[in-house]
Amino acid sequence: MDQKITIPLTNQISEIERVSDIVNQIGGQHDLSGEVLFAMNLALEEILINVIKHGYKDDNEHEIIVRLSLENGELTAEVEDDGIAFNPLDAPTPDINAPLEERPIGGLGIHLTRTMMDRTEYRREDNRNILTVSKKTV
Amino acid sequence: MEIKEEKLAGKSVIHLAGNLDINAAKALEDKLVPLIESGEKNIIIDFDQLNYISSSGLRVLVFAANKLLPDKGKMDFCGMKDHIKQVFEITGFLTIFRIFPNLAEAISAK
Repeated sequence: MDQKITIPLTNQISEIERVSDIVNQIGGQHDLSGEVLFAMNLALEEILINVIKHGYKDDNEHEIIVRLSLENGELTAEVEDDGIAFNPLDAPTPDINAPLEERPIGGLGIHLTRTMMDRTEYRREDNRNILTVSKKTV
Repeated sequence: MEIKEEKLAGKSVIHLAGNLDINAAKALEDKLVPLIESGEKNIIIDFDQLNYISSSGLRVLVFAANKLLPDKGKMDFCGMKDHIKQVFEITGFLTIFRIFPNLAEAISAK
């Protein structure tokens, strides 16, 4: 059974919990595995934090749209924002072999997203960033 | 996320329950930093009841571990669930932290 849901949010860290609540609801309704929900919630937290913290040159309120869909055996999230043009997938992989005192923390979120999701795509359309991530559910 | 602290065999054990996301990361930092600044050199973070961790949580752990370095303090982990271990593996954290299967082994480790 397929499902689609659109979640408009403002660029506030406090909004992220609302998204994960909905992801978990969908997961419960469709009996999705803990692994799928963990990966999707992690990816969405990392992506949304990036957009909220680094995506804007001003301090204004901005709308971010998250579109969740469950179809063709995949849970997909599309995150659309009107921030500065930025493709997080272009970020280099952080050095995960560095000793503790040289560990970079920046870039880990996107590295986790790229590794744990099955598909990640970016496009820029009409001055908006659109980042799509998917996880197979079967 | 719930944070409970206890002292066992001379080590500070921090039990975490729930989700270590960006909000919980701040609370954990507020717990760990004063503990380390007060001179605690042996910390065990018990992940037995932890269901989720994001890079915000990882950031706090690295920050705390680096604060322990000058005094040769240690921060070990125990009770890690599979999803959490996967995050540690992907980010290379398995090579910088000791992870014990359970609290008893973490406590008795040197």
